[in-house]
Amino acid sequence: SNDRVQGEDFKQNEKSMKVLTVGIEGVRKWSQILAGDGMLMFEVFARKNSIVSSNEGNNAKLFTLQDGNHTLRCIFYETDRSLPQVQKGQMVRCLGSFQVTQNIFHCVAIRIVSPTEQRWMKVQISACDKALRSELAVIKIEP
Amino acid sequence: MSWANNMPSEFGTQSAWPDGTAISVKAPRSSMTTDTVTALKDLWPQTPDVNLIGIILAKQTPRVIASKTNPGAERAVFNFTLRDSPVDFINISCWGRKSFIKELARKYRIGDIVRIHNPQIMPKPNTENEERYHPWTPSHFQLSFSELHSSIELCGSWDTNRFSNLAHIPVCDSKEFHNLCEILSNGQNLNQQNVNILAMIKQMGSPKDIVTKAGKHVKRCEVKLFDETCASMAMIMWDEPIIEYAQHNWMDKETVIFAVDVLAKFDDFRHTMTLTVTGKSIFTTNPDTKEAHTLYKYGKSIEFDDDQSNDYTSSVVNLSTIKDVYNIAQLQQKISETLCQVEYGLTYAFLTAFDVDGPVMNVTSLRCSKCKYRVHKDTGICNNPSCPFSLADTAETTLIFDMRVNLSDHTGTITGTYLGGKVAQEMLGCTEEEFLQLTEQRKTELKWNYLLERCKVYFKIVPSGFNGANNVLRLLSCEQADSKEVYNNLKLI
Repeated sequence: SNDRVQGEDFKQNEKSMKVLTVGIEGVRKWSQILAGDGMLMFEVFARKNSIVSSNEGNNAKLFTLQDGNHTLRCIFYETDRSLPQVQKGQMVRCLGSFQVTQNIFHCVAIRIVSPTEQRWMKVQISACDKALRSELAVIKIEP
Repeated sequence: MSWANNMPSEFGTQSAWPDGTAISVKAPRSSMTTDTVTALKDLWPQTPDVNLIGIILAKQTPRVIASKTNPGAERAVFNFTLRDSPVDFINISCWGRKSFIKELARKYRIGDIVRIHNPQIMPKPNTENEERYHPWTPSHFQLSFSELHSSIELCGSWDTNRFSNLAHIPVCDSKEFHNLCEILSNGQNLNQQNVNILAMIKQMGSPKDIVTKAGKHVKRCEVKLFDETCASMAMIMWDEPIIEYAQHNWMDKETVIFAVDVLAKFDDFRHTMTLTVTGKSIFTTNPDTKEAHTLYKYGKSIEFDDDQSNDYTSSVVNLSTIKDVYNIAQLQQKISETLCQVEYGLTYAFLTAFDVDGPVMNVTSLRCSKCKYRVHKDTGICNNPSCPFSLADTAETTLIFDMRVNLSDHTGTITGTYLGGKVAQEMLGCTEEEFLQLTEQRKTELKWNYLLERCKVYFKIVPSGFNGANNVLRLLSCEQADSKEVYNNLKLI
């Protein structure tokens, strides 16, 4: 009975939330590949390329991120704090989840990247990508 | 044998009785007119003029029983176990008036060498009670010692060397024992089973007077044991004779014990396996066996970080010595494994739950100022049964940071890891009292300093000690991680 319990635990662990460090392309790619594999959160490094607008209900802020040719629409609900001031064109680090059906990034944290983060973010993104690929290779699903 | 000198094992040279009166060497042994000694192995129900010499292996607290034959009168019984060779030992019941039996029980201690004259030899009753409450013996008989017909005296003039050596020979195969880790990890299978163990004393607790629910006054003494496989396991003693013996003969980080038939029990409060000494248990202090010598050497060689599982605040461990880096999936695996030691490690993970602006009761807890256990939410009484404050009406309490946080990375999330005390103080930059004065807005700001940031987290995993329950992960330090370090470790894992 022990083996059974541990097996169940393991499955449950597989489904626990993952936080991936990605560029915008990675948000869409990994949302697709890992769909049904538990909740995903993304740490996205990108440039803020729009001014901020409000949504219809006026309870959230909307803006867009850009990373090369890729753009990502973002929504930020001002529940316990207002959207931090970020100029258009600045590099930001956003944390949130991607709503595939609405094609919108539900952003819960946003701030300007630090100089060290800026220096290391590209290699961090590729290291995370590589780590995820090698894990998928282990369970024999090719991305 | 390095410890033999520390042992009060020179029974043959005692110059006084346990009650303090001097032993006169020339004293006539009135009832002991013969020096012919019967060996336990030669005992037979009809053996005439039985004269036994042996070492007291175990003894139990005397009990007073209402007499069946003489209503209203009380009789008392006191049981002990006598051994006269490595393989021969026998149980003896002493019956008599309450005062006589109490005096007998007070006078003779575990480890004493005694001469017993004219006990009655009886077949073993082989009842369930007998088996449950008295030590197992290889003899086919048991002895009955009566106040009127039998006599007992401390052996003062006999060559007792042969018997004092018996004190260091285990009463069963010295290789037949469980190591402590096996008991922890087999919790479910061994619960309520008698086990043999070989362990070293880590810490002798002090005996406490306790009144049971039935109003009975008893003593309780807890000993912490360790061996090569386990850093700490509690053994609880309730019987006064063994507590007295342990207090006199066992020393922290010095004494090795071999115990036969101690009860392995699952402790619901501590959520771990513990050992309980019962009437069946027999101890050999500093057994002269290869295994015991190996354990003694091990025990002398290791340094304890004195990491008790109830030490929730900070750790004395030097963080710079922690080098093992885990990702969350590896950590999940580690938490579900059976561990017998506290393990330390490091992870670079996102803090995905850090509710410092939530309800205060989820951020802090009231602890007993004496033992640092949580006090009962409603009664304010200390929850720790070994704490003196658990018997008091209320405990003096201290407010301490005590919260659960989640850690996540690209491999998964661990929920409900413990963050408390000094670690939380350092993260939040304030004491518990200062924290209570903060505005909600300030608390939210403090939250976002860490929430969803990539942190460098030092942690320890404290074994739950029970099959099926997870080990506990406790944060030792948490700070925003350096991007370069994060990258270097993402590359490796």
